[in-house]
Amino acid sequence: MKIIEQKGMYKEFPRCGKPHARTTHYCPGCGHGIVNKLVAECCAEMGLQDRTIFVDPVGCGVFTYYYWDAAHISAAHGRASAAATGAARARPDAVTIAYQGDGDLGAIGFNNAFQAASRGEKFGCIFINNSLYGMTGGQMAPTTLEGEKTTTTPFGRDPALTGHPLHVCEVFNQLQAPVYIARVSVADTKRIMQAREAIRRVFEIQRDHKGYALLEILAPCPTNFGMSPQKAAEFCMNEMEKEFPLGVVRDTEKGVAGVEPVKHPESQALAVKSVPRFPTCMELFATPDGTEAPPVEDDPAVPERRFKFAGYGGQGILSLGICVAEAARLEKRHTLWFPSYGPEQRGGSASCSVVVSGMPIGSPTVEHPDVLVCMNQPSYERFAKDVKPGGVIIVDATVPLAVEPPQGVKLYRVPAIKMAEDFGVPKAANTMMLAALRAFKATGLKDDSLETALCASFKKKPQLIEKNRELLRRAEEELKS
Amino acid sequence: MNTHPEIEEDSCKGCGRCVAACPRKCLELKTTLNSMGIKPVGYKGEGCIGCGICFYNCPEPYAIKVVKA
Amino acid sequence: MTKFVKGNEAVVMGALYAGCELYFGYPITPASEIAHGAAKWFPMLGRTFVQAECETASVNMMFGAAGAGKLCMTATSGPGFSLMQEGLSYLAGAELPAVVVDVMRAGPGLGNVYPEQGDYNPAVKGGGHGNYQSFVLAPASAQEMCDYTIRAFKMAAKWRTPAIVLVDGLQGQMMESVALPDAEEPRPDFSSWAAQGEAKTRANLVKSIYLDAAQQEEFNIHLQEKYARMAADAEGTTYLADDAELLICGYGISSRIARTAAETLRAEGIKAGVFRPVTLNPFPRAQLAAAAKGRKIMTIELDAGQFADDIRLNLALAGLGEEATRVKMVHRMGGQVVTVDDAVRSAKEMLA
Repeated sequence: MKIIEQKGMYKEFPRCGKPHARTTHYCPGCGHGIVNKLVAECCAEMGLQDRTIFVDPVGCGVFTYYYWDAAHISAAHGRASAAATGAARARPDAVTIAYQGDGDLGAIGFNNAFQAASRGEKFGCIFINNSLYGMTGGQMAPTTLEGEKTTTTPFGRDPALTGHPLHVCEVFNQLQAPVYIARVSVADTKRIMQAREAIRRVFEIQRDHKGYALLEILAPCPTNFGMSPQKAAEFCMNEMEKEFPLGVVRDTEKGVAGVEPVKHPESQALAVKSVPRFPTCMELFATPDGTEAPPVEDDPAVPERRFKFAGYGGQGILSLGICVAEAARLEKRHTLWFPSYGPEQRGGSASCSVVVSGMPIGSPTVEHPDVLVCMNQPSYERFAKDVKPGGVIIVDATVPLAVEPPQGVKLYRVPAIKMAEDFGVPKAANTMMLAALRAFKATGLKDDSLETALCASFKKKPQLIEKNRELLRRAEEELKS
Repeated sequence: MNTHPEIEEDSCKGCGRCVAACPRKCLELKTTLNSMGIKPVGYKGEGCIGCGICFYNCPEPYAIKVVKA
Repeated sequence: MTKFVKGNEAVVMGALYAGCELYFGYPITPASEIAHGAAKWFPMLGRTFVQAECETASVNMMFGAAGAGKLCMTATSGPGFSLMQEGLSYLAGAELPAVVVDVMRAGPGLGNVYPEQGDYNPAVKGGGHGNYQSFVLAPASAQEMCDYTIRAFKMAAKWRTPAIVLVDGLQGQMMESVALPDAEEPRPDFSSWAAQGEAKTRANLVKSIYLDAAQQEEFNIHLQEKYARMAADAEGTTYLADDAELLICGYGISSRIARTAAETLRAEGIKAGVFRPVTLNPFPRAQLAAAAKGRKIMTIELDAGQFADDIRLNLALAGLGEEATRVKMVHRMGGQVVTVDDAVRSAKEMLA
């Protein structure tokens, strides 16, 4: 004795709140209802209910979590494909199935679905096309037929005003990643049996982690077509199929439709390939990458010193600042560096601030520098007046001193740009300035800390280390004389 | 026990898809009302070959099932 | 292990130590280094980095990953944060743990990439629809951007709610020393409610819909009770405030300006102190009231007064109506940063 009956659904639907509910919320003759039964049956027959995560839409399909006996994530309107991406990435062994309508996927969610398909996300997307918005009362959807009357196209859809019906399968077929794209219908028995096979194909592809699958299912919507269930089914077969032909658009697993079966490449990125054991955070961040530093130690005896480095973008201003910050770090000081920020970045000028202190640093902004290094005239004129009494200004010799430095501020004119050219390394003007900072004892940091920091800044170009060390020494001798 | 459809009248919404699809034309909408006030489908009593077409055409999971002897 | 890194990078390090397994993000200045760091380090640790097609996608990818029981995060700036408001409401409505880092920049609209604090209300009061809140933390240094990202994941998991790490562009770009933790956090087990694609979670349903109005209200009441309990994890700190006549309030970068301003005023014999909320929601109302009672109050902020309004609100709710009405604000907008000089000048005017 054999019984043909529903599998894969809860025996009752308590989640819908009505006592002993055994009927769905779908209208009489609704295509969603038919698809809901096929999906549940397939999931159960393939023994996948434990592994499956259904990602439900917002629209007529929103209540699938009343019915399907498997885990559910109910996504925001239009976002089921994004949520399915997150679930599939979080649980690669799960069978993730997104269920969306032609408003949910065709309109608000189109880009999320399209991009997920383009990335080849490992989930199956079952997309119900009933040519209009069902749940909200029969409005036009991107798949509404030309001339079709809906509550927002009362005179029939006019392409001149609303464009033409959207062919989702054909558009997705431009993408390389999808493994399977097909369109079926549930209007009559023959079509329902085809749909049943196609749904099974979608589950197989996810069960075997083959990649992204899209199945568009044409479905009658008697209520919003304003037709009897039979007439709605006929409309779905005769009118909708003119616009949306049925068939397997692509099945790269089976090389259908003249497309070579695609063998999905194993990820070549070393980091992503499965290795016997991935490192822990501690192992990852223990490997030296030039940013490691000795732990900071409080020392109230060390005063706070604020530096400003300014000049023209490309003169090595930012790396000069980092060099001084690195030196301070080596001496376990509280240190901060940040690049020019705010309107002074206009016109190619670059600047950075460095604060070094024995104790935790308050405001990072350097309004009154203790030490100002300027490589060009605009930066000198902009910042020199703010230097603290007792402070130091080091300015390149090429800069005319139209403005006198404030009272009590020492000023050194250093031919950094010229020396760099004379030494044959024009880019090393900032190293010349570092030599000046050392020569005039302007940083309060040890000479060898500054030298070590300078060499560390060339870790990506080790061949320049010796060169710059030598330049530093030559410049210092010249400046001291 | 012969082959026949089993109908849960209160789960049927009277859409008539099964009646139209049945190859043996052995289903019809009843004249009496179910608890929701809808005329549900009924089995004419003979002719069912257990093909299950009615079950697959029906949008409801529990309105109709088919028992094959 | 101590590293000298940008605040943005410290956030990624914190997330990795916190056990975050998936990063979904869309590039936006000034948060880009977070995406760069994640793109490199997440895969190296066998975790997942996905560049999304937009911020709406990012937050909904998080809905899926969190719904599947994994810790996940995203990072963005103002414009992207606006696009995520609906998603945050859904995360709160489905009680899902997830972390959003907002590296604020000048707005409204396109604005520019320089630091501002104008996203205060959507972050702290909830910018999406419905009666929800997020847990909001406000680091003020690269060290705290690492530590508070870890705390954000803990709070998100503890309270099953989205958590926001609220910083600004300057903090994101600023390099400071960061002492990294000695161990990773244990991975939480969400199998009691998550949809994980395995037998024991087959009956789980992650959703935010309650068709029945009574049930929806019941759920709202449950949320409000949860938010009330969250107050236990509120935190505020003070600096030089014990005998202060003037209390300077500020969060994030503004709290550091306040610190130097207070030191400068103290050096001139003026008794100034600082109150800094570490958590912006739940707001440390009790700590504020204790520090503010009977004193003049000035705020430093990079917005149009949203923070000052919240200080006034919390003072009033703590029964300090008199202090609330006298709160004065020092503020800049558009990417300009309040200077210590501005703060010191305004403080003197208030005390004159």
